Amino acid sequence: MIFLSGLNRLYRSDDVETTALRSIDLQIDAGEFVAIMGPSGCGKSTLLNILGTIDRPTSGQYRFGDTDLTTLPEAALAIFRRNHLGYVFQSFNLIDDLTIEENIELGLVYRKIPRQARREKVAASMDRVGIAHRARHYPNQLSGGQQQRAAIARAIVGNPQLILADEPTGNLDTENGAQVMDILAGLNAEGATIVMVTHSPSHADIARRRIDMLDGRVVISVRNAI
Amino acid sequence: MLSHTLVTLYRSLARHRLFAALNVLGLAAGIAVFLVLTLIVQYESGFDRWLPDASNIYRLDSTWTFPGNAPYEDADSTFVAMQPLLADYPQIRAATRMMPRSRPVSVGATIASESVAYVDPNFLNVVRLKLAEGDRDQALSNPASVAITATTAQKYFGTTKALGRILTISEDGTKRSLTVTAILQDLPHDTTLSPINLITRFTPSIEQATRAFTNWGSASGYTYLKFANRTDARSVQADLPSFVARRSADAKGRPEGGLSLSLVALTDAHFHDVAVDAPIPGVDRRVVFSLAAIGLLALVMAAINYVNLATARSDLRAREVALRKVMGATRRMLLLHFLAEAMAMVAVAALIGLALTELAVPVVNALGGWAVRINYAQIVPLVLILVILLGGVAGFYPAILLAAYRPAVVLASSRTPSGGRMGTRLRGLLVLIQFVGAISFAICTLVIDRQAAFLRAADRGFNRDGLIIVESLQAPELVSRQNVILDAFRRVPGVVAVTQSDREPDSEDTSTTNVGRPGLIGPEPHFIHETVGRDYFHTYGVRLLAGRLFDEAHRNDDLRGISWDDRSFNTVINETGVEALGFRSPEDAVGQTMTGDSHSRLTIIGVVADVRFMSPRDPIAPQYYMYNSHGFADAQAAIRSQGVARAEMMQRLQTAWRTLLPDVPFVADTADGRLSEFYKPDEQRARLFSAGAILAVGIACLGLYGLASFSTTRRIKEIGIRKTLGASTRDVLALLIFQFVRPVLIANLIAWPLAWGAMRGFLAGFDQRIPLSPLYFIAVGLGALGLAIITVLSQAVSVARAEPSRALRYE
Ligand SMILES: Nc1ncnc2c1ncn2[C@@H]1O[C@H](COP(=O)(O)OP(=O)(O)OP(=O)(O)O)[C@@H](O)[C@H]1O
Ligand SMILES: [Mg+2]
Repeated sequence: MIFLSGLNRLYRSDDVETTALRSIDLQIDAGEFVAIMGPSGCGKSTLLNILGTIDRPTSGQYRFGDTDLTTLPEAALAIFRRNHLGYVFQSFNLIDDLTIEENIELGLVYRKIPRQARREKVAASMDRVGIAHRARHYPNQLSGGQQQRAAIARAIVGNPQLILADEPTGNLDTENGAQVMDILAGLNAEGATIVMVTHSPSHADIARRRIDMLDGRVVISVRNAI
Repeated sequence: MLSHTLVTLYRSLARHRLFAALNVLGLAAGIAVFLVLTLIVQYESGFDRWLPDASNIYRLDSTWTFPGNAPYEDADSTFVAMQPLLADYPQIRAATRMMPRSRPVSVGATIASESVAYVDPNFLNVVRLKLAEGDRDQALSNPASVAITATTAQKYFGTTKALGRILTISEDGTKRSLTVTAILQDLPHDTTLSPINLITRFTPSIEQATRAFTNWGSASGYTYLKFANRTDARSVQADLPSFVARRSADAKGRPEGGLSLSLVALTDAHFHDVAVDAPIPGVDRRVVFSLAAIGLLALVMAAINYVNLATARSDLRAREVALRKVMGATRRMLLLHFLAEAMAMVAVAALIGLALTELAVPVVNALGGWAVRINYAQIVPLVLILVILLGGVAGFYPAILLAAYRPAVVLASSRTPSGGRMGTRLRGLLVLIQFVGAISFAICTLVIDRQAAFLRAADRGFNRDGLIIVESLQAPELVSRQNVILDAFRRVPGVVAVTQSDREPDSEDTSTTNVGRPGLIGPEPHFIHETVGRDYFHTYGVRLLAGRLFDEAHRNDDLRGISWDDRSFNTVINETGVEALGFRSPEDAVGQTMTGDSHSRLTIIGVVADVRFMSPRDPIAPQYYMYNSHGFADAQAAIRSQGVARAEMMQRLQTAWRTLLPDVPFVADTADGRLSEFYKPDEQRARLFSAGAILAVGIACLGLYGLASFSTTRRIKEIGIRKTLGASTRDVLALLIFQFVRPVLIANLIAWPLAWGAMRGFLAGFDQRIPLSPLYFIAVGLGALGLAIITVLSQAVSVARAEPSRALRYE
């Protein structure tokens, strides 16, 4: 489903040049659960952002199915994200002014979905992650684990083909982290493709495939035995 | 989408209630100020525009030039000029004249003094006042017909359907019956025409009695000329000097001083009449311009604050926007989202602004003496344009700014993007400018207010307390009975002194004479000439500086006792007169002689303090007093009472008058009331400016609040770190307050010289004025500083007190 070839990402600031990604070649098939690991600063988030089209590669190609995303204009990328993508962040990124329910609904408002259908999907998605009882609360009234589950609910509410998660358990304790991993594994079992960045080897083991990065390169890519 | 936008908007408003309220109310206040001032400007510049073809009707003004005095323009002109003008200039389509007079009018038992306009028969066809009833062409076809206003009809007949009814008018004691032939709609307030209750034709006896009909040097009313267009009017205007020279050269009653005539379009007259002796005081065009400028400024400032606050908030919303992008929102969607949000907010502000305008208009009318009304057909489109414009600006900026953020950057780091150093600096500068405006405005207001209060209380050289002026004494038919009437007043309980004189507070006309003295170098000064009755100086409470006052014992004191052949009179002059004649001191002047009218010899027997009957803006003129123990023309009575309430005394005087003169309406006012015209405009201005200054300071504080809230939210983390490093709450508070208040300190430095310059000019326009004390500046400066501190205090305190753990959470 995802084909990356010769992907580079350079950051230029004034006179310093940082190469965050160096000629990445990578293929991820539909239904995979991939964990990306590596030391801080090696380019994991950069890679994920490029996969999520909220960042563009400096050179190289990124194909999603038959579409070459590197050449698409901004507006088309927005539509791509809207229809195919779910995103989970380490720091949740819920909007303080909206209730949990409304935050989750954000995953649908940019699609043309009737309000009733939207409501149902939101409810289903909240059930899925077990925060339905917090629907009317505001993010700052929830624990970190609950907030992250809400963020996952938002990511999956539109039934995306691809879920990207950047250290989804990074701000969580062991128990909450395990819960989140359970949810992700369940989603993968139902057919969603998941790419997750993590620093936790045990969480990486839950994924089916593990990619190790160093200095902007993919060094190892192994499939876990099941 | 839309419902989602509205939910987001509503939520963010509900969660930041104070912020939203200040934001919207500030904008609403700015819009209201703008609308109210727009209405006022529209009112002031719309004088007489309700009159059909007003821009082609011109008033003939006369300007008098006496040697040694500044030229003096009067809205009235000699009636002699009209026929020659019509004969000499075919460009003049029509001409008509109007002479306003106060006349007793009665129907049955109802009797009152009314403003009567004596006019040429074609008056209503040139000055086309709106008719409620009757036929314009027939209304004045008969000398005994009269057109009256609806209010007048209601007053005398109890109905506006009064065609054919009869009323009685008393002209210098002679009564005449007039038939109502037309009902006029009441004249609007925005007119330069003198007040009109009744309109009737000139009569032969009036034409005979009025010198303006025969005399070039005399004026008693207005001449209106109608042209086809402005060019025609200009061509006649250009030729008027030669017209005057040609036509008045050997005519009788040639003006002694230089007379020149000029044309003033009715639609320009209101602005033109500032420096003209006109029936309705004009307004300085610059005042109207500055009102317009202030209105626009208030709107711009409020709009800037609004956009500032809105964008400050949107900088904080960068994370939300980035997230929306991740969720698949396109740039266009975000733009629309922000625009819709901004439009909705501005629309709410505009609605509140309209409501505020509706509330403010009656207050402003009362404060400023206007008759402004809201015309929704004009206001609503204006407001709509404002909403679109402001909403566009307020929504576009954040949309563009935020659409430019790369979501990856915003979302990966948990820091809020800085939003540009430029933006922060610009915000600071705008707040500074607002405070410069607000502080200089407030200083000016304070000075104007103090000057107005000073004028009200200022020494006018006579005692105003309990002084009542009876104007109706001046009726010509009462001259021979003046002393009888004054004696009747003297018998009224509570009255302590009574006199009469041909000048009084707010005198209508003033006659001047050039006065000389042997050995005087330079041109002869013009003296105001005033005839006074018994007890004059005592009644008015005028101080004697040297010599003595008039008394019965000296034969030459009293004009009545002197044979005119003698031409030798005694006179009292004022202090300024002493100076004008070049005497060293009042004592020096006593016993000296001067030459007056028709080579009369005037011996100065006393010198009195200057008396100010007219505007405190005008310098005091030299003046001499003559004494006449019998009645004389144009005399009004002055009555001083003690220990009786004003209304009660008025009642008693009226009763005394009625008993003696049941046919003549009693017209009287307090000296204070008559003088109020001189300080009222300044007081009104002071009050209006006070309201403006309060608003300006409020708007500036709002800007400061926005700036403070913007930077505190941003600096929560910095302060958290400072505190973790050991800074106390007090340290942080001091730091924050100093930084927030710094623009106000700088604003003071800029505002003071501005205000000083403006107020020096303003005060220079007054003959009597307060000194420009530095205290005004210090007081306003400290006030602004205090307000600024209060404005930022709550935010500074809450930030400074916050636990660092909270500030640093999730960072
Ligand atoms: N906006 C940027 N400008 C310049 N350099 C950047 C920017 N974002 C990332 N980098 C650099 O690119 C490299 C990769 O960063 P990235 O955020 O992908 O690392 P990461 O593997 O996610 O690290 P961590 O595990 O700490 O999250 C780093 O060296 C970083 O300094
Ligand atoms: Mg990272």
